[in-house]
Amino acid sequence: MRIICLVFIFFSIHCSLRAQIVKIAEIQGTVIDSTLNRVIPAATVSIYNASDSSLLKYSLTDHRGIFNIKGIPQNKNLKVRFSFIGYEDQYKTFILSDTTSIKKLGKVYLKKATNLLNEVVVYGVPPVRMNGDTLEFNAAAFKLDSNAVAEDLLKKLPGVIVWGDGTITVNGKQIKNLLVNGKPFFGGENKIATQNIPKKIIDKVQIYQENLDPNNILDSISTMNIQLKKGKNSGLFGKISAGYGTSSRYDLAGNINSYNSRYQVGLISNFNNVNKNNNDIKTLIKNASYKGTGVSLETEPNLSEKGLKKSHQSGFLFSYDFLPEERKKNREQKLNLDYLYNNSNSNIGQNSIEYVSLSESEQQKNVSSIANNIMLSKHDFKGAFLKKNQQYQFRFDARTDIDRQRVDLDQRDSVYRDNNISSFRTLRSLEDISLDKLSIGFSIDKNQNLDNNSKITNVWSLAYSGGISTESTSQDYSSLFKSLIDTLSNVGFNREDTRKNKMFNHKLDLKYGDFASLFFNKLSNTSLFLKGVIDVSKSSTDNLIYDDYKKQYGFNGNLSYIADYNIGKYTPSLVFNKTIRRILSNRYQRFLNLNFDIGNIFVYQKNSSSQEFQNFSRSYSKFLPKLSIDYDNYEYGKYQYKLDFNLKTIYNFPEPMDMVPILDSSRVYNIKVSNPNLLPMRTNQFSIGFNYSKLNTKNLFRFNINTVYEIADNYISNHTYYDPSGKSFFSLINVEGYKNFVVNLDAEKSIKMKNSILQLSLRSNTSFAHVPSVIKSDSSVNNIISSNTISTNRFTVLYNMSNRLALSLDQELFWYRTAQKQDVTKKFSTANHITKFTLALNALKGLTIRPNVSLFYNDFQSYKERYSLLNADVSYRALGNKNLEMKLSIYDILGENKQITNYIGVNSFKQTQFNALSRYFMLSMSYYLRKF
Amino acid sequence: MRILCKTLVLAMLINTDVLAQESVTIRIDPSSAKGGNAADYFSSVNFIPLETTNESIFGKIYKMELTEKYIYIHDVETNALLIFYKNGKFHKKISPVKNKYVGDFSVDEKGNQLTILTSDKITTYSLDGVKREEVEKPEGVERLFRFDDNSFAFNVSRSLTFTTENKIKYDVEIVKDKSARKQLFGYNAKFTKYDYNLPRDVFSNQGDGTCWFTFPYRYEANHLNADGVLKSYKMVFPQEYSLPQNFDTDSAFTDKRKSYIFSPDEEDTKQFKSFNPFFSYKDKLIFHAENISGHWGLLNNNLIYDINSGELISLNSIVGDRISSNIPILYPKFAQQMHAFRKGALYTSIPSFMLLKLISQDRGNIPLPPSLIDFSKVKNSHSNPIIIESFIK
Repeated sequence: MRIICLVFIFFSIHCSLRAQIVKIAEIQGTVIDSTLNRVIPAATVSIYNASDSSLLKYSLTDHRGIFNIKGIPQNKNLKVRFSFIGYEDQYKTFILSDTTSIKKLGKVYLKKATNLLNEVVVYGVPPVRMNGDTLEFNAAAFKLDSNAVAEDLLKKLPGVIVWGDGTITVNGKQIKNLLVNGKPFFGGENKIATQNIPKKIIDKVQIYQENLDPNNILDSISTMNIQLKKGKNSGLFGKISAGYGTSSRYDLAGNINSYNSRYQVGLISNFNNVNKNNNDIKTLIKNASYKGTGVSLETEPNLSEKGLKKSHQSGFLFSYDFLPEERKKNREQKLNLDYLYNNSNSNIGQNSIEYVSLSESEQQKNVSSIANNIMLSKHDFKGAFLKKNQQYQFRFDARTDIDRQRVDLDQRDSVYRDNNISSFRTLRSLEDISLDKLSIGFSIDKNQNLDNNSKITNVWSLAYSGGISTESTSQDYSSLFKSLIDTLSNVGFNREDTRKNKMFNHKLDLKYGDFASLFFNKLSNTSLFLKGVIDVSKSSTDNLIYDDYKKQYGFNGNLSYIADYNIGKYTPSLVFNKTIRRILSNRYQRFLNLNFDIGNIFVYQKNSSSQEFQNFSRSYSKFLPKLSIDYDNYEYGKYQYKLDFNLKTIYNFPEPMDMVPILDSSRVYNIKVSNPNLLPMRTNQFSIGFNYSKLNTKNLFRFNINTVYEIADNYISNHTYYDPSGKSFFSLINVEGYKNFVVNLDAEKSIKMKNSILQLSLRSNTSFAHVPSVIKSDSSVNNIISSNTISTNRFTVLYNMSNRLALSLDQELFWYRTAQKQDVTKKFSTANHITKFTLALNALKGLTIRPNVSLFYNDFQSYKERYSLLNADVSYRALGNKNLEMKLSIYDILGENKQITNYIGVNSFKQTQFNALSRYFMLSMSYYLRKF
Repeated sequence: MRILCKTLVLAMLINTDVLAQESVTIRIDPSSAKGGNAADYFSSVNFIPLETTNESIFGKIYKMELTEKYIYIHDVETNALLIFYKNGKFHKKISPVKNKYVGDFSVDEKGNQLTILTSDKITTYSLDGVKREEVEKPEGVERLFRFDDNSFAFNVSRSLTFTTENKIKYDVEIVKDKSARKQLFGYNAKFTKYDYNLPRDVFSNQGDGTCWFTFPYRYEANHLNADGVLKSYKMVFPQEYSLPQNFDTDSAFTDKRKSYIFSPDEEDTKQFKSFNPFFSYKDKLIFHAENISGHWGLLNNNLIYDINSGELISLNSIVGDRISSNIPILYPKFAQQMHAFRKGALYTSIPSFMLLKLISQDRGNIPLPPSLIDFSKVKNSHSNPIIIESFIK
């Protein structure tokens, strides 16, 4: 009901805005060269309010020189300007009376300019023009606030929509490359460019097709280039901010970025205890963006993060372009480096309740309480070098990860049968994990030489990736298990577990062809390639366990082991591709593409262990067919849809720890038992997708539906035995009967109005799975098939008006249901709803008020719970360029925040509540560095 | 010394044919081409909607020729040669056997024969499309023209690689009864190879038993009859419209022409890469100069040049008026261009969706001709293009 009210209020606002539109008329005419008497296509016709020179409307003449501009206000003193490169501007002034619906201006003659230097520019540059195949919007023609950024400008351009997630579409088509001066800007993250680059340094916004076919008008606008003014090829921007609040909350951050035509470098560092932590440096730089004059709905601290986290992150991003002018000629040579240091300390408290079906009449309840402290220190370095020309592409990648982690765990579990406690366990653990990993890779691709006329086109690619990692863990833990049913099974451990693992991996990917012309006609649009993947790895593990026995640590020979595991995979395949094209120029373009990959995988596994029962060697040879059929229909200027169909077979080969694990009886509620006869699982996957886009300049509509159906042979599931105390022993087994059906739906609709934009989106994911397993208790053995349905749906309404008001309504619905069939028939279901409403209002110039409320509803086993999360902030931007921002934020005003997750297992259903950030106030101050 | 002598002899041999013919050099500045109304340059304009059926639907006019009775259209997209009556009614479709493609065709109205070149055959049909005879295609023939004395002009593709010896090869061979009568436009194969190039027509049917031959990367049109070159016109354009000097012969551009043409720098995009088609009428030269970037007709590259007066007209800039029912005779967007010329009439076309759009716009009380009234009633945006026949004044 609340949602309906909000939607009603929103549409009431929209209707009242429409009611205020004044009466409008249109003008028509033809622009002609006065000397040569020829029409001028793509001349710019701009209409200004004569009293204040503000731009009202603009258009380009068509290819006959004709213009026809609608929506012009009546009873206003108007000035129309006609302009074209190399010609003198012409002006006409008039007023459209109440009774004039169409004004015909006839032929407007433009005279070639003799001396443009003397031109008196009254109304600045024309707003739009065609420059060859490129549509260019001149930034100077759009009057915006002096602090506006590129995003504010893009929102003003006809046909351009900037979506909430930063995606940009032009006339319904997504911009795939957003460039600044012809190059990706700081890793190609759209918002870093659009929310930082000031509008005043932008010369023009260019929109063009990268693969233009002059013989066909099937346009595919895919690239947008923000061209900066001459002399503005370098810049410096960033943000320094500091905030302090109640409960000793603090948030300090600094980011500085610099660029010129050859390099881009960004440095970032932040310290906080408000759960801000991200492992991607581009996202960190994006989060520090200036954002211009618009109102942003983004909220900063992550109140939905589980636990409380204190973190420090520092890093840099660097890219160097060796050939900055050669990109258009398809020549590139560049180096990218980025590094991120992440240090965090998290305290996560969680309480969970789990219901486990044992048989038709038996049910077990597990109650668990965990306090976890995780200290993480992580260095992540990535480097890439790319060199390419028209025939060859070479790429080299290197990455190092150095992770140190300490996990301090305090856990209490209790198990109930028939509402009576049957056992409990306390566990204390301190674990140190150290991981050092180096991976490198390189690839060489050779494209077809179009001058080559030999039978085999000699197209090949070679890619190598390899790595080495060493991981060592050291764990001290003590646990005490007490059974109230069978006191003989009471057990306690004090254990030291040290484990070292060293791993090498090499992977070689080869492709060679095209052999199609040996068997098929050259015009048959077929290709035939040979592919081969060789993947070898070796893992050496040294696991030593000592138990405290009568206050003395003694070597545990049953659990300790030294093992080498070698695995080699070789997958040769023959890939056949055929495309059937049906193209009718200026009408449609239809493609049917058939791809058939006939492959076979050969696998060899060998495990050598000091524990005799772990020694094994196995080899497999499995057929791996893959078929895909795509149909793409592009109707010029109307719509485009794509239909795809895929069929493939996937194998999962059991690893040593799946088949012959070490039986560790200290893990009382989760003891893994060996099954050396475990077979590989084969999954046959079948998917169909449909994607539709309406190609319209104003109101965009697109949707995508994708369905996947999979069935498995020898599905790897659990065989679990629960003893009367609640101890569980499980092994992996092969069972039949697994199937899964998944439906994904995405839909988006955008309506662009005069000064506002409305965006609607729906994201939905629903899966229906049948998962077989075997449950054993002392009284019975039950084969069960668990029918699990999980549905997550999110509906979002975003409305943005004139950079003054933005509001969003977000409705998330989660629905979980599990029903056990066959020997056990049980049902569980639950639902979560989250309704989120955010309003951002530029109340006064520079002053933004932003309340935000989330209403949570949770239904678990008939226990219904409602709670709310209410936040608000007031920010003010001061100084000439609005570089200084002061903000007062209040988070979780009602003090009700918590995080709840639901989980469906094969025979279980679990809900967990986590601690989360709770009520605090914060006063923060930010300064935006901006030198362009 | 021996090499030098050999080269000089070869050079003389290469130039012998061309030097013997009249060659005229003309300087043209497309930016000074005039525009105007259709009635300024044409006496009448007719519209011929081509019938659209499941069999006759085609994509784009890649080459077109006409006779008194028929219109012949080569469409690459449907890989067919389509024959329509002059009123637009569909007559016949000729498609090659599977996995063969139509490469070129030539219409000899006087000899009542239509010749189609496919990937492996040269097939002769009557003008109404009845098959008469078929012969194997001589090796390397890419394009052809059939003169009215039954001889052929063959355009032979250049080698993909350099040869190691000095050897004269020819771009055009005139062949009658399977024997070469004449070889034209020689080049030294040691220094020249076939650089990557878009398939394009090289012969334009003048409609009187002769044709025009044009080169890639060279602003030269040669008027041919069965005996050889009648006349050559060489055009010189301002620098902004011109490829670098000797672009087609200078070894400095070897293996670089592809990237120059297909990935041009922005300032080079106006440059012309070739003429296609090329016709003459009275004292006028009528031709389409292709830009290297395929700009959407914003340039003046469909031109009529008057040899006597030096007047240059841009067809792209001629506005539709009363004689053309307000419809432009050449809608330059979407790479539309002139297609054919016959007996004083220039033939262009317009996509159906664009014509329907123009018809639906304010027409200022100018009536539609009956052919377009019928067209607008029954056709849709998937219909075949509409031929525009414009008689030059």
